[in-house]
Amino acid sequence: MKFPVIMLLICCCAVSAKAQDSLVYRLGTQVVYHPYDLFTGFQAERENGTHQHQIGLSVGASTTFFQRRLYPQLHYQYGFHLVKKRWIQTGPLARLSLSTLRFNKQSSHGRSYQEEAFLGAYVGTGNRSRFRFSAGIGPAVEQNWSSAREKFVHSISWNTFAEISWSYAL
Amino acid sequence: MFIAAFLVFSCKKKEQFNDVKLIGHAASGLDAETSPYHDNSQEAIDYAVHLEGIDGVEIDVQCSASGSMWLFHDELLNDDTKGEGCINSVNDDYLKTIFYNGLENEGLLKLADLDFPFATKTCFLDVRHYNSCTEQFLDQQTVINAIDTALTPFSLSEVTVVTNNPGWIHAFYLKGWKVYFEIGSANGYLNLGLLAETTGLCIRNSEIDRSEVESVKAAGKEVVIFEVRSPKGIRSALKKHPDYVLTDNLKAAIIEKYP
Repeated sequence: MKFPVIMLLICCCAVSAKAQDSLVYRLGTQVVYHPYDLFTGFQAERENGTHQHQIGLSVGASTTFFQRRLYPQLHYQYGFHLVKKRWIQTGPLARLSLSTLRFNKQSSHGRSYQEEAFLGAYVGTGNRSRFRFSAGIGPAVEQNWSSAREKFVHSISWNTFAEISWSYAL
Repeated sequence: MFIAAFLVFSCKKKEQFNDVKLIGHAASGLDAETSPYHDNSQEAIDYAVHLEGIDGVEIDVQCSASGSMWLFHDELLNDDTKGEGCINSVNDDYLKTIFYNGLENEGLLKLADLDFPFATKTCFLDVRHYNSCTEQFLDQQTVINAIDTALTPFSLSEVTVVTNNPGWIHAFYLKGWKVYFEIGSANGYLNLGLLAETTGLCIRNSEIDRSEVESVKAAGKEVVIFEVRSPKGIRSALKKHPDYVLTDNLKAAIIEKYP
């Protein structure tokens, strides 16, 4: 009974050791559903064994293209492969994102800042060319200048995201 | 390609809408994903009135069985909370225990507890007159008393009400309140004989065009347009130059007003 378990552990360690040796850089594109807008943009990823570090830059499509007001969002994401096979990768993720929108051009204080932190999970498929679905939930802070109070007011709430991305290993 | 599209759209002619006031529908939007908070909550009201460019809020008020006004949009508590029944059929003690569904879990707000210390901002009270659980009309004097009772801590300089019940206009008018009549046709409003006792009409964006807005304004009355959510809808409402636009997407509306 012990033998198969030991063999399984050895196999896992071997896969893990091999994976840890591999350093891969990836570039890709993403579409992120967020309650405030549909963000679309590019991402760069450093994958070292089971650890992934990703940064992405995107814009809110509705606001940027249909309302002609740039709505950028920058994110950093850390992911950990619990399962890393050629045809499937999955694991937990942590993401930080920052976005800003100047919604009122007539006021010098008409800008909104949003900071969000998410915990979630992802599932991907493919090795060199990879499709991935990620989703998360977490707290969000929105800062807006209030003329009535003459200071920034903070709105704290919960937010979610869901992302579909494609990346290619360089 | 994105940059080219952005530049092309940026070159469009920009129209100004400084004569139109933007009001948050149900505070920060009804069923609005772009709002972090539930409609008609204190959090949503705070969020809306602190946005640069929002001139006030519209809130929905209903009278409880205890004779107090509560902020709630839907007919049934079941629709958006874990509560049951209609606001008009339950008492204040029960309503104090009710919270909206969702991540934020905002509590139901009593009008008397509302914090609205903004003399320069407008607050429309959309007053409900019908109990859909008992299928009976409410007693208007009870509702007026409930609003009167809520006013002292409420700190509104003037009361502005919206009603779709023509039978309730006269009593509101006698109280000295500003009354907006919700109706589906501008011509219907102009021909109904209610002009003297109302400040204006409240109408869906799809039910009025620019010439009708001008006709109502020519009669010395104001126009409030609601059901305005998408950027396209907001643009079309602003181009009619009403007095107020009740929007469900606050930032999108500000962007369109100040292009």
